[in-house]
Parts: sequence; structure tokens; C-alpha cells
Amino acid sequence: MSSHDTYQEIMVEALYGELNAADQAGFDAHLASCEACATMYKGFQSTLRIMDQRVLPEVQSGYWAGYWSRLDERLTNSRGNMVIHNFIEQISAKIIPIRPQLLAVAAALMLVVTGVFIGRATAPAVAITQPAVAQATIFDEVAVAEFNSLLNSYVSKSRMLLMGFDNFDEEDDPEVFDLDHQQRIAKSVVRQGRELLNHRIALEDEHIKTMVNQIERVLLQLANSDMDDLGLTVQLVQDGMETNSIMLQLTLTIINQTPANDTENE
Amino acid sequence: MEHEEQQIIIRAQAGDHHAFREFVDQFKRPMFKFALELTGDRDEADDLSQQTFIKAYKGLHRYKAQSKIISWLYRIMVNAHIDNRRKHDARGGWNQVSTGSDSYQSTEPFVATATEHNPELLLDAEHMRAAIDRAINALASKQRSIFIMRHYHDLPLKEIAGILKISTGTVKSQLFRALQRLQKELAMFKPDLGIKESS
Repeated sequence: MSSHDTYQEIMVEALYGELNAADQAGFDAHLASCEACATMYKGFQSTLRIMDQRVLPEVQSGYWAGYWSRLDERLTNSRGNMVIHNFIEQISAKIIPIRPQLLAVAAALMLVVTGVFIGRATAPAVAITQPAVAQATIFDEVAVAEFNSLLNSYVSKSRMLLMGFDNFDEEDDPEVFDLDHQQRIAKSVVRQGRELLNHRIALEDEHIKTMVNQIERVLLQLANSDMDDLGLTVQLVQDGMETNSIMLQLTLTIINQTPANDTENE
Repeated sequence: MEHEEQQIIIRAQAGDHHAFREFVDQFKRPMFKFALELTGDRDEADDLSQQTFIKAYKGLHRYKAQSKIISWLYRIMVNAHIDNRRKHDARGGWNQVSTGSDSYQSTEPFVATATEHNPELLLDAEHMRAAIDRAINALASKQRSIFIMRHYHDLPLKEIAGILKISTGTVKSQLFRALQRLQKELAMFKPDLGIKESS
């Protein structure tokens, strides 16, 4: 890097008086000998003088009187969701040493099992027509097997990728978390998701379509992120996952795909 | 004051709703001001500041006093602002052309200044304000946040880096690019900005 580049690099520090005496002296000496940098510096100073004239919209005094009541209403609306979230966090922290998300998944599974049990116990016996996709023709069996294979691979890769973000700890060394690698995987998973959606079985399955599209949105944000700050990128992915309960959807998809007596997968 | 502030935070972390109200009362004005600087619009600033306090409410139990509480709130607000802008851009509806007059349409009447009796000065002043608003709006969310924290809040570059959890080098380069962009957007004031006329 040339000395010219060096002085341009520290120009913002000079503008705001953050250089130490020695660096400031060096910078001043450079400006005296470099017309380009001197012009740039003078231009920045003028720009800042103009920006000093920024005027913000005024607010009426009555605005603050209603501020807390509006915020409190929003807090109340969001508190219902928080009660469950906090309960789960408290349980996991004090009694069961497992991640809250796993506890949420376990709670969801219990609800599903309970619902199935109640349904079987109370529903009248009726002949269940198998969906067309499950009828035993060789062609359909092949298509189903192919689709399941694609789906399992997609779900597995998505979960592994997203769990890395779910488990991200800001205290960890950011160098350990290879964002470029994660972005490459994200693009690969997006392509895989699109291949899955092109399968004729997926075309009939609204759940799969919705889930894959939601995952794609999150992964595209990740893949296209050009933010230098790892923490902000991770926050973006985590927010996307939380908004659509993506990890829960993936887990339930796995459960639905696992045959009842499949002991090999346990 | 710092001890009192700590006590409010501890009580709020324990679930004391009244303490959280005291917390909001203590920080609502600086946070709203920062939101206003980020968005340039009173309604958006209102929404952004409230979003920030809601996120703070949900995450207060995770605050461990490893940084100043105001820095923690700044970070929440910057993240929320970046997120809002991305969602808005994704919907394809972001209006980049926020002229001074548009910004004032839905807000309170413009506060009278010394220029009100001199229409020519008023026109120049409004023109200037519109140009400044456009220039700020032209910045990417992160650059805008960094510029506002450095220029209007006088936060050192190292502190901004700590707030946003990025390197000081990144803050410097983002600020440099922000200044270049502002200079370009304010090119109508060429003689002052040292920008040469194109041949």
C-alpha cells in the first residue's frame, strides 16, 4: 500500500481529531505535499459543514405523553408469545439442561402425538383412501422413493447449515465461523430446494412448497449478504428462522418421513 | 446516576414492569432522536424506537453490563433499522427520493425560523435541507448509522466499532465511503466541496 493510500485511510480520523500528535503531524506534512489528498480533505470538511446544517422534523410536546401507552400496548401484544418463550427458557435453564429450541420441538411433538392419539380414539372407523401418490404402482413407488431421497437430503443439509447459525455464540472467535463457506453451502441448498420443488410430487404438496420457499428466502439473504459484520449477518438469519419456525418445520418433516418402525434411523 | 440506572436495569431484568417503564423514560428521547436521524421521518422514527424497546424488553435478561446500556440500545436500533430497510427493499417499495418537502408532509408544521420573513433565504434553506435529507437517505443503512454516530453523536470510531461489533478498520472504511457518497450527493455545492467541473 502506498503512503498515499495510508493517508487516505486515516483521513477520517484526521477529520474528527482522533489522530495522535505524531500521526497528525505526518498527515499534515502529507497534505502539504499532496494536492489530491489536500483537495479531498478540504472537500470532506466542506461536506461535513453542510451536514452540520441538517434539521430534523420537530415533534409536538404531546407526543411523549402517549409514547409509553403505545409501547405498552405493543408489549402486551407480544407478551403472549413471550410467556411461552420465557417459560421454556426458564425450564431449560433450571431443570432440564437442554436447549430451549429442543424443548420447543419436544413440546410440539407431544402436542402432535396427543392429537393423533385423540384422533384415533375418537374418530369413527372409516375407510381411508390412500393418496394417489402412495398407490402401489411401480412408477409411483419409484417417484415417491426418488422424491423422499431428494427431500431427506435437502432437509438434512438445511438443518445442518441453519443449526450452525442457531448455535452461534457471539463470544466465539469469529474467525472460527467461516461465513464464505456457509454462503457457498447456502447457495447449494437453494439450488437443491429448487430441484426439489420441480419434482411432480412437490407440486402437489403445499407444506413442502411453503417450507422450501421460506428457507430459500432466509438462505438467499445469507448467500447475498455483503455485510462485513458477522454478528449482523447471523442476526438476520436467526430472525428469518424464528419468524417462520423453520427449525420446527424441518424437524416435523423428518418425523413425517420416518417410517413408524424404522429402527435403523434411531 | 449510574448506580440508579443499574438498579433500574436489575429490577427490569427481574421482570419489574414499572422498572422497565422507568428504563424507557430514561432512554426514550435519545433513542427517538437517533431513530429520527436514521430515518428522517417522525412516524418511522416512532416505530423504530418502539421496535428497539420491544427488542430490549425481550433481550434485557441477556444484557450483562459488558458494554454501556446506551451502546447496547444503539446496536439494537441499528440492527432493526438495517432489517427494516432490507424488508422494505425486498418488497420493492423503498422510496429513495425523500426530498425535504416530502419528509415534512406528514409531520408537524415546520418550525418558524429567522428565514420566514425572507422568502429567498427560506427557499435556499429548504433547498439545502432537502439536499441534505436526500444525501443521508442515499447512504447504505450501515454507512448511515456509522456516519450519524460519529458526526452527530460524537462517538469515537473505536466506540462505534464496539457498538456494532465490527473492526475499527471497517468503521473507518465505511465512514470514508459515506463521506465520498455524501460529497457526490451534495455536488450542487461544487465550489465548496472542491469537486472539479467535468470537461
